[in-house]
Amino acid sequence: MAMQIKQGMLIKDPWLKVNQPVNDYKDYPWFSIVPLNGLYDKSQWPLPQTWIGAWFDVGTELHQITELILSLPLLNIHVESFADGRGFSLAKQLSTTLRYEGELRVSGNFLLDQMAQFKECGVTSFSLPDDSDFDHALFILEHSPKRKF
Amino acid sequence: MYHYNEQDRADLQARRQVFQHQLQRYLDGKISDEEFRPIRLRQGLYVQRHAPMLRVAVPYGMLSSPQLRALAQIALQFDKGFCHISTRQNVQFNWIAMDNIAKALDTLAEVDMHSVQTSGDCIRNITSDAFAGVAQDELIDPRPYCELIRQWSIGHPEFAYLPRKFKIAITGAKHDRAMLQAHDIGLRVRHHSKQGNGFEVFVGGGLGRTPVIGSTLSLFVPEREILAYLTAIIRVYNLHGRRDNKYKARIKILVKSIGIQAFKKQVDEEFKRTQEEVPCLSPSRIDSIATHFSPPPYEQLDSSYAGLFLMTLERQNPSFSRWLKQNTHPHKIGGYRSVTLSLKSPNAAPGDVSTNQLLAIATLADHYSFGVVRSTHEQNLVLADVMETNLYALWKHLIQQDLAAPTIGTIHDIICCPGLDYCSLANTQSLPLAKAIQTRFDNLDYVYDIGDLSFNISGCMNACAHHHLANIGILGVVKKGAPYFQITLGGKKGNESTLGKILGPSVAENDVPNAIEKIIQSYLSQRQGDEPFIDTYLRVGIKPFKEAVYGDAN
Repeated sequence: MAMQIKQGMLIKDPWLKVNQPVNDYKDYPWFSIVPLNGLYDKSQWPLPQTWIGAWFDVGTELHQITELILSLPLLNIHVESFADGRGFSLAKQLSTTLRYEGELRVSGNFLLDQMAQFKECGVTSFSLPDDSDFDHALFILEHSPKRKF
Repeated sequence: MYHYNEQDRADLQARRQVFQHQLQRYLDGKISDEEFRPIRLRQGLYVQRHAPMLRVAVPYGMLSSPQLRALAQIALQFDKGFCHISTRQNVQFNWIAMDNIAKALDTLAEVDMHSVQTSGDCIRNITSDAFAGVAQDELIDPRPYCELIRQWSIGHPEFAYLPRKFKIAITGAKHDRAMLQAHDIGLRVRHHSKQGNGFEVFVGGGLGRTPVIGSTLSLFVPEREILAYLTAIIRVYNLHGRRDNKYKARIKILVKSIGIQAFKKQVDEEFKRTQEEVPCLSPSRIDSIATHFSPPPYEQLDSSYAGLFLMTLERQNPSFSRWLKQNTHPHKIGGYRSVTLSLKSPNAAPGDVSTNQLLAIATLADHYSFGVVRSTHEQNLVLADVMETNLYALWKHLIQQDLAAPTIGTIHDIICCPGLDYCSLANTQSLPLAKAIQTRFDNLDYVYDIGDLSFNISGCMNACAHHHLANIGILGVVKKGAPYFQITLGGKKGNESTLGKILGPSVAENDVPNAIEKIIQSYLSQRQGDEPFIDTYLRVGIKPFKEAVYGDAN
């Protein structure tokens, strides 16, 4: 089981990211984070599982995040390259413009040094590989200054 | 000028602590060069030709005398006894060993300075008019807004990894001395009879490989909404700017590709959302910052007495008279003037200032100008508030320090990037060329006869010396392995910024002074009355200059 940092604490991650969508949503295991396009079939909602999340990349447009998607308990922004800062704006839009109140997560190829910025943009949890420098991740979250605005 | 409070210092200390942790991880080999690169760049730390280059932020060009002394200390202890004023009003050290970076940052922090966001793909240091607060043509002092936007942009989490660097300039004067339309965003402070203060907003300007003059995005955004508006602009850019090609990643390319109207539509839509999200700037917050920029305790002076005093000294001393005319500027308070300290002595590279000079300037600032100095994008320094009756004494001190070259605004006052001598991006050496031009035009009477003329040299197409906006611009290129220089004419900064036009084929390094001489001779033979170079150029066009340099066949 991979690790996550949530609310400033390092904990085991119960969630599992699924890369391929399935035709019958009943087949998603509980605590799956499934691709956004694997949840667009409205006829299969409400989902039989309570604990299902959606993941999408940083280029996702706001109009793709429907009301149904916003009802999920977890949304996961997946970062392909740490140099691509669109994820910060997307997180900000999800947390403020769309007022998403569930767990907003980041995964993928982000820098531990970017975690404080993601947190300020509304991200509430981070998916981290097992070989991450967790001490540094926690240091960044604890010691980075907050802005005046 | 703005004085840090305890919270500011705590934030600066926290940022320093985090960076030192990150630097140590890098030095310990725990992160790769690729991962460390964006981190060090956001701390103004470049890997240059000889050593890391540390770029220190000088917010909108304001420096206190203790800050100058700290810069002198760093230059002496960790560099080679000098530093360099950049064309964005910052200070650069070119020879600091990586092991000494943390100590240099400690020295800076003691005087409330840092290097945060002086590089990297983020919002850079805010620049402004070097004569803000004192210029006679100023309508509203822009510095409180500069400071508010500086505070807003430092550590902005959403805009820390933009497609490319992002530069904002602000002015409150009638005449634009901040090059608003050469910035990603340019803000001109305006007053509206019903809505109070606000901003005319320009967007999509920039130089570099693809020079573009910025377009008007909004004629008036009220001051209370300016942060929401800036957020909307930069968010649209962050989400839609190109990331596949760094040479096409600036906001100017996005604006150009979709058109200013389509861009404006996107910004206006986002603005509706950011107005709810970004807190309004309250009058009390603006007033609180504005108190830091209250006028210094000027004395009530008899201007007519000072005028007579100066006139007498001018008659007795023609050298002083030349300096007074060329290097001092009208002040909004009677009996005062602003003084430009020339960093264009032929004895040093343009923009370089030594430890001894920094220490002397700090003392002169304390004695003559309320302890404050400004850096200019022309790579000079300014004492903004000097009593006219003190000008002669100040001039004497400046001569001793080699800071009194009476050539501000002339062909001698060359804006020049560090070029191949320091910069790892440069194609050509720009400093020796600047020296060669200064040597060719070393007769002051001739220089004054030529009159007002901007002359800028960039060592590569990144255009750090803003050669596109110079009356005569020089760009270093490489042809078959040899350095060549492309000449542009007719560039102009200010309210009607204009990009220069390429004169013709680039010329070999040794031929540049001759080519410039021919251009100048052509100008002198065609000008009418006291017409400055740019006006003659606009009247006669580029053709006569082309013929002068390349002959009739071209």
